This record gives sequence, C-alpha cells and structure tokens, in this order.
Amino acid sequence: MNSHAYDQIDSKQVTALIIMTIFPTVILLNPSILLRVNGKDAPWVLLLAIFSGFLFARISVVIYRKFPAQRQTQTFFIAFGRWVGSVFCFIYLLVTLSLLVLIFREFAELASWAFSYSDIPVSILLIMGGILAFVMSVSGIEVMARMCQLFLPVSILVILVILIAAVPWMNWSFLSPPIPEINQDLFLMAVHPAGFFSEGLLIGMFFPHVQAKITELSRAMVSGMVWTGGICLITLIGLVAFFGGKLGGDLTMPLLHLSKSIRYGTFISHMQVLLVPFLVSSISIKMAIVLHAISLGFQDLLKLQSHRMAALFFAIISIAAALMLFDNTADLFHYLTKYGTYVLFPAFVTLTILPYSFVTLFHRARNGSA
Amino acid sequence: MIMKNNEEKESGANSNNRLSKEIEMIKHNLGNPPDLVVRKISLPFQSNGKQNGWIIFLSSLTDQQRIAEEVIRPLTVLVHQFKTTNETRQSYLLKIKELISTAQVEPVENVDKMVLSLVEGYALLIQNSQGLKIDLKKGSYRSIDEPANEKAIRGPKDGFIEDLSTNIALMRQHLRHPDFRIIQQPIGEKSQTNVAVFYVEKFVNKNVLQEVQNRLEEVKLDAVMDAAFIEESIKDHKWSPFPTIEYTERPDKTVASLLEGRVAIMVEGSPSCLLAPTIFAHFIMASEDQYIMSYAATAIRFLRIFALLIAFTLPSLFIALTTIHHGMVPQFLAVTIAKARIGMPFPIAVEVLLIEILIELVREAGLRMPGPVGQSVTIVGTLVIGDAAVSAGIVSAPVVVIIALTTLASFAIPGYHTALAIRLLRFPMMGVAAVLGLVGITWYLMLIIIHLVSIRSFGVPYMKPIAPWSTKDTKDTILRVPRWFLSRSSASYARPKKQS
Repeated sequence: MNSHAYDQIDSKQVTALIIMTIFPTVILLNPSILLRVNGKDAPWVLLLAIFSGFLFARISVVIYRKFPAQRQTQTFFIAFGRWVGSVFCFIYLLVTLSLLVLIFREFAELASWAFSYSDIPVSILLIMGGILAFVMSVSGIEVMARMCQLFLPVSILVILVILIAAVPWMNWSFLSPPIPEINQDLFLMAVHPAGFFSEGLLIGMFFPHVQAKITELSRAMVSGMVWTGGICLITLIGLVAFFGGKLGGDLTMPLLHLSKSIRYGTFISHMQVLLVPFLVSSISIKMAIVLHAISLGFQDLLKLQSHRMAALFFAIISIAAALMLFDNTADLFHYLTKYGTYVLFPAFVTLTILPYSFVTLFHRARNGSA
Repeated sequence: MIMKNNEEKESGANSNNRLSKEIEMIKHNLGNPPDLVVRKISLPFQSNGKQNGWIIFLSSLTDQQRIAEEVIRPLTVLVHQFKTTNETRQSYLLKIKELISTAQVEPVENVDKMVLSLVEGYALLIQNSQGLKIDLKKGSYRSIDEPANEKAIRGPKDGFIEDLSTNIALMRQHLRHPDFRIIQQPIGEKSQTNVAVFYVEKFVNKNVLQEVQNRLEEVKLDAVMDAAFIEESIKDHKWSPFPTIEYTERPDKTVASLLEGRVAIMVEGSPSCLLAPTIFAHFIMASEDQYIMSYAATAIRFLRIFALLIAFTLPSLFIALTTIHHGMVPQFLAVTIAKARIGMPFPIAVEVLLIEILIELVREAGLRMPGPVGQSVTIVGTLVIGDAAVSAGIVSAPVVVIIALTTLASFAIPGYHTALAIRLLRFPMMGVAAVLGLVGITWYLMLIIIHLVSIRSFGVPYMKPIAPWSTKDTKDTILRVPRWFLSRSSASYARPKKQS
C-alpha cells in the first residue's frame, strides 16, 4: 500500500532498539569481567558506566541535529568530502564489523554452552545465527524494532523472575561495604562497561527512519539508557549477592550459572531453560541490528541500489571470522578485555564523533549540514 | 392474454419481427435452455388498442407466481385506467413501469445486458427493442441458523446464509445507522457473482477501503464460488501460511468489526464474511468474549494464547528434551518416560510423528464422515487405535498423552485457519527439534516470529498491538476490559489516524 509509510519507527521503538543493542552482551559477558577485576565494587563501576551511556545518548542526538536526516556513515562524506570521507567511513565500518564478529561469537558460545548436552558444531550455530541476522536485516529496521518490542519485555521479565527465585540463596553481606573509596582505578575500570554502552551510538544509523521530533528522540535515547542501566545494575547486584565478588569473576557467564544453580525441589532445577531461549533471541536481534547498520553503511559507501547483498556478504564474513579468530570462550574474553576495552570501543566512539568535531571545529559544514 | 411459447404467432408488424430477432438472439446466447420461458403478452395503451410484448425469464431462477401477481395482473386489471395515445417508446415503458407493483424495475437496453439479467434471475418485459428488468428472483435458501463453527453459549444465534440480500438484512437489523454503506459489484468473468463491500462511513479508514476496492477491481477469476476465492485473490502475503483476512458467519461479529472501522466483504452464494484488516490477535478472540464477564473473557484469552503455544511447541519440546537435553528433564519424570519406552522399536521423534499423522488422519476422516459416523470415527480413532498402539508396543504412553494434549490445545484456538497454519508449521519444527534440540526450536520460532512481525494486513502490522505496541488496542484484543473502559477509538489499527 503506497499510502502507508513503511520501514519507519517511532520513539518507543528507538528505546527498545537501544536496550536490545546494549543489554544482552552487558548482562551476559560483562559481569564476569567486572567481577574479576572489581570484585564487590563492580556495581559502582557499572553505575559510572551508565552515566557514560547518557553521554553517548546525548552525543548521538547532537550529531543528528548537526546532520539532520543523515545516517552516521553519510556524515563522513558531508564532513570530509567523498574521498577522505570514504576512507573514514570504511574504517568506521571495519570497526563496527569487528564488533559484529564478537557478537556472532558470543551468540555461538552462549548457544553452545547453554545447550551443552548436544554436540552441535559452532559453525552450525554461527550459520543459524547468521541466517536469523540476515533475514531480519533484509526485512528492515521496522521488523527489528518490532522484534525488540516483542522480546524485550519477556526477556526482562524472565531475568527478574530468575533473580527473584535466587533471592533465598543470596548473601547480602557480599555487597558490603556499601560505598567504596572513590579512586582513580574505579574510573579506569569503568572504561570497559562504558565500551559496551557506546554500542548505543550505532542506533544513530537508523535515526533517519524515526518518525519523531528531535526532543522525543532525545528522550527515547535517554530512556533506553536508563532502562538498560537499570536492568544491568539489578542483574549485577544480584550476581554479587549470589556468588560474591571472587567466585562470580571465575565464571564465564555468571547469569547462566545462577539460573542453573536455582533448585526448588526436584522439578524446578533448570531455570536456564527459561532464560537461554530469550538470551539467544536477544543476541540474534542485536546481531541483526549491527549487521543492518553495516550493510546500510556499505550501501552508502559503495552507492549500492540495495543493502541486501551487502547484508549477505557481511553475514558470511562475520561467520567465517568468528569461526577462525577465536578457538573458545577464553579467547573471546581475552580479546574483549585486551583489545575491546582499549582499542575497539574507543576507536568506535572516536570515529562516530569525528565528523561532528571536524565540522564544528573547522566550520566546514557542507551539503545541508547545520 | 398469455400464450405459450410454442403458440407464439408472429404478427406482420415490423416491431414484432425485430422482437423475435432479439428473442432468438437471447435464446441463442443462452443455448435455448429448457427452463427458459418466453411468453407473449398483449400490452395496453396504444392508439390501435393492443401491442404485443414479451415476458422472458428462467423458470429455475424466477418466481412465476410473483410474475402472475405483480406483473400480469396489474397490466390486466389496470389496463382500462390508462387510455393514452401516440406514446413515445420511452414514456410508454415508463407507463408500464408504473403499473408493475414489484419494487425494483429498471430499463435494460441491449441483448447482452438482457441475457445477463436473465441469468441473474430477473424477468424481462420486452417491447419494441426496449426492455424492463423486473426483480422477481426466486429464493430457495436454508433457514437462518447459528453458524456451526462459531457457536456461543450466550449472544445472538443468527448466522449468515447463502443469500446476499438476506445477509444484508441481518446486518441492518444489528446496525440501524445511516452511515452503514454497501458497495456492490459483479466479479468473475463467467459467473458475474455479486460481491458486496460493507463499511461504516464515519469510522472506516479510507486508505484501507480504497485498497480493498483496488484489489477487488484487480481480481481476475472466471467464477467466484465462495468468499474464499476472493480472500485468496486479495490477501496480503499470498505465500504466508498465516491468514491475513479473517472470516466469520456471525452478523453480530461483522457489525462489531464494522464499528471498529474494519471493512467486510460478502459474496453472493456464500455465508462467509471476510473482515479486513486483520491482526493476529483476532484469532484468539471469539464472539462469546463479548457476552461474558470481562475478566473471565480476559482469562480465557490468555488460556487460548497458552493453548496456541502448546499446540505449536509441545511435541517439539518433548522430542528435544527426551532425545537431546535429557539432563533438563526432572529426574522422576525422566524415569517415568524411560520406563514407558522400554522395548519401543522407534526413536521418540518417529513415535511422535506416527501419532501426529494418526491424529491428523482421524481428524480429516471425522470431518468427511456424516455427523454421527464422524463422531464415532473420532472416538474409535483416538481411544481404540491409540490404546491398541500402546498395548502393542508400537508407541509409548507418554507420547500419546503429549499428542492428545497438543490436539486438544489446537481445538481451543478459535481461528480455524490459524490453527491450520500452526498444525502445518509444527511438523518441520519437530524435525528441527530432533536434530538441533532447543537451539533448533529457538531458531525456528525466531524465523516464524520474524515472518509474523514483517507481514501486514491492508497496511496494518499483523502483530499489532504487541509489535508495534499500542496500549489502547490491547483493551479489546489481548485483554477484554469492561465495556465502560472501552473508548470508541479502541481499535485504532483500523480507524483513520485522526480518530485513533
């Protein structure tokens, strides 16, 4: 029907998208790293990271106000011209592609670990994830936003149910002392979870599809960050109270271990059956969001008619890279802590704000920029 | 006054010669069928006293008694009251029209239109190449009963029948409002079946209405036997197993839908009424929900959602948990299942498939058999064959229980076509579950959900009000809030934007 505008999303869906882009990996992998390094101070570190989330939300809206109706990748061309802009755009997409490879591997590790009773090869799991991401990507941002709206409430509900079910086994003394000493390390440690929150900047790629005023968009972004931060913080506090700082850090995916540890008699003894399908679904939606952003970016870069072929190509590339670059979960963790925190995420944030900074500082606004 | 067809006498007048040519053409076009009746009639009013006219009709479609009472008698009795001279052809026919007491009398000009009117059940009165079509259709339809597939304990018991005008009357009885509109058009190159579009002017979404009309205009069919023909031709996502157009045989449900701003389509000769746009939530709603306590209706709707999930996933979950993820099955349950499976020749997946096929066979056989025999077949099939299969050691008892539960749950889904789609999609999922376990089930369900959220019905997202979320629309879709809570804009998915 021509009379209906398709592939458009509203501000509520932006909130759902931003939560889904950040929360699955933050609650799955981040607690282990946080607990290992910070012990029981981990919730405070996460709290600092949440504030960085608000900053990222603000940044993405400010960039969009400067470059209205433009995708993130298009801002490079406006700021730097076609050739130099293409170089920066390409680097930006490569960094985003690295993030996608990490998410693909996280998906495979989660599925493989959680359903470890079967020996499904990681390659098969990656292909399954790739198919989901590709199908969602070609269906458009509207479909992805609806998937978020459908899965998000249920996923959050399941996490809360599991945390509440674990309350009888929680030791609240693990959380003391309540206020840590504020020192430089605490801020430094917050860089890692802040990296995860920076993934929210990727939603800027879909702003031209949003049917809302800029103030509503800004509110939606902040609201998304509040929800994400809240869920992650509650989960982390629950994990600290359940495992304590040290044990929690030794586990790869503490939330899954928690869901596996809850026992009510002989019947309710495997609550991960409830949690895992929703986590797997959430991560596959996140994969689709990132894949869609990359394929749209390459559509801009190479002036393609459609992003579909690009989506297929990068889904295959991501599967291959996720298969070859990491041997196991330990490899993934090593990569995340070593390169992710100090190279990948900072590079992603820097590249995102680069066109805005350049235009603002050197007054070289072109082609419709403000 | 009336003479038999075989007693026709050709007069010498030119006009009468032309008339016989037209009748010959009509006869030729229709293949001179045995039920074609052609009778000469002496018409009054002319200066020379009498003029021959012709009454033609198909006795199988037209009511002969009404012809005698409403056409012949007035012409005979009132003939002396109209003594006019030198009438033009046009005014002459108008005079005739005034005499006929039937409500619907319209002029018809060329032979093709005359033939069309005859096969539609009209009687023709022809004089001097000019004709009048008189609506004297014979009605031989079944009585108005409660639809067999949409029974309700409480609420109106009337249902649509095969006669379109009766169905319109039924709707008007429920909706006495001047904004109620009907657009009728013939569809089907050969059948020329009347298809009517109903809507309420004040509430309808004009975009949806326009889209319905556009799609109906594009329908290219030889014949329209049922509303299903139209549904298949105009539905969105033609390859999707999920129905994007709802159908009902209940006038109350149709009228309620019209008041929500939806469009209804009915076909002459079919008791089914198509409703558009349709969302997935419509298939967990039943007419009865409106006639029982709101919280009970809401609870039942949740029960139906649960039934839908069971009908779709239970066999696959059972296969996955018992063949791949043994550790996830509670200990005592695992022991019970293992004991029941001692000596079973087939793997669980094959067992489930066998019983599923058996149940589908029983269901299909039960539908085709006459009423009482069908019930017997269903009972024999489920109880005797199932029990015999367990006793013979072909299948285990837990598998029979699982499939029985699944079948029961599928019957609890009000939308027949949705239940059908779920039955179809269940089989591939069982295969995926047997090979990939819970990962496979999650993956398969994700693909189905992606499909569901990506489809639309006449521009309305199929998964509304959940995705995209609309709090207003949940009030009478997922929930059934008390009537005083419902605002008139409760169905914003179907209404024009300014009203939503």
